[in-house]
Parts: sequence; C-alpha cells; structure tokens
Amino acid sequence: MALTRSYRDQVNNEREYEMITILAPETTSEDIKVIQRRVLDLMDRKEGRLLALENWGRRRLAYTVRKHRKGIYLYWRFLGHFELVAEIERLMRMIEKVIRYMSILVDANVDPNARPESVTEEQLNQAAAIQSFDVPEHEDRDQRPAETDEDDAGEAEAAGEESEDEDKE
Amino acid sequence: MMNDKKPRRFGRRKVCLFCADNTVKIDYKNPQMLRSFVTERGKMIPSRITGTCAQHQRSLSLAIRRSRMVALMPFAVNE
Ligand SMILES: [Zn+2]
Repeated sequence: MALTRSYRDQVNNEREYEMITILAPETTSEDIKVIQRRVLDLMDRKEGRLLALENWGRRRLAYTVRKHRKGIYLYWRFLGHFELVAEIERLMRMIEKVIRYMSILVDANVDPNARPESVTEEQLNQAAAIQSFDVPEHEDRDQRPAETDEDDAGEAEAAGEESEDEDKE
Repeated sequence: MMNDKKPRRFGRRKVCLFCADNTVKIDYKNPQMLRSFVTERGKMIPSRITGTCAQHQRSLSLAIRRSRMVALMPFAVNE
C-alpha cells in the first residue's frame, strides 16, 4: 500500500475515517479494553483523535468469517492522517480476535476544530461491555446454509483504502 | 413505503427513489434498506428494473460492496 499524501490535503486539516471491526464472538470485555488501549496509544503517537466508538453487539454474520457465524461489531470514528490508518490496519491484522476490519475515508479534508468531540470514558466502557445481548440481524431472511469463507476478498478490500478515496470524488 | 403502492418490492419505478426523496440515505451500515436492491440470492438488481439513476446506482453498488465486506450482507450466491 502506497503511503501517498494527497496534494488536496490542507496543511492543518485532517482526514475523517470510520472503521468497522468484527471480533470473534467469544471476545471478552477485557480483550476489548486491550484493543481500545492499543488503538488509543496509536492515535496518541500519530496525532489522531478517536471521535466515537460504538459496540453494535454480537450479531449473526451474513456469511461465515474465519469459521465464525457470529461476531461482535465495533464501530470507530476518528480523525487522522493517512499514515495513522495504515498503522491501525496493521494493528488490526495483528490482533487475533479481530476477524475482519474495514476502514473508510469519510472526509478527506476536515478542520479538526469542526469536530470538537472526543470519545468519552463512558463510551469506552459501554463499548467494552457486551456479551449479554445478541442482535438478531439476519434471522428474517438469510437462512440459507453458510457460504464460503470470503476472507481473502475481505482483506483485499480492507487494505484497498486508497481506492476508497477515488470513490469519494 | 408508500400506501398507494402494492407491497411489491421491485415494481418498475419511473423515477429514482433517491432523487425523489433525498432523506433516504445510501449507507453501507443499513443493510435492511440495501436489501431492497438485491435479489433473493444477493445479486444486485439492475437499475433499469429499480429505476435508480446512474449516479445513485453507483453509490448503491459501493454501499452494497462495503456492506458485504463487513458481513452485514451476503455475497451473491453463484447459480
Ligand atoms: Zn438518483
């Protein structure tokens, strides 16, 4: 992946990203706290800022991912430069509990002052507290047998961050 | 859903749903909405059937691809 910075980037402006990570269904609150800490450390070092973090609960996946039929969804929104996303994706590949991730460029040129919010301690705790509920996501339709593992396709797209940029224009 | 329409999901529309109602957002995080634009087997329905304009069809197709990537929607099952 080429670490190119776009000429459109204003000097003091940052990029806004969102990222979905799917964690193995047996992931514990402690695991999630560790992941949060590692991501926050990275953002500190790379001058990014986590705007929000949500836990969407343990959901049935539309197809099996690394042999899992369910996964815990975390939704992250953050500011940073391109290098940060590359680092975060590298981190996600290293964390065993992360079975899928996808980051998307939401806005290529954001004035950080226009996004004053920062993730709160309460949000972090809520995002770590899960396990108790399952979201019946695909129960109405997708009752067909599990499809083939699409891991390879997923990693390819997840790593193709730069191609997302083109789609935005 | 409009009341004056039959509950058919893929009726031939004259205008693009998203041009007609700009409050309907195309979002990969909303698989329930995107599902109206794929077949039972998960294949994307052509715009000539749904009436979606070219521009919105492109955003739809991007959203569906993203939704699939995070397992919110299934990949198309090959016939
Ligand atoms: Zn349209």
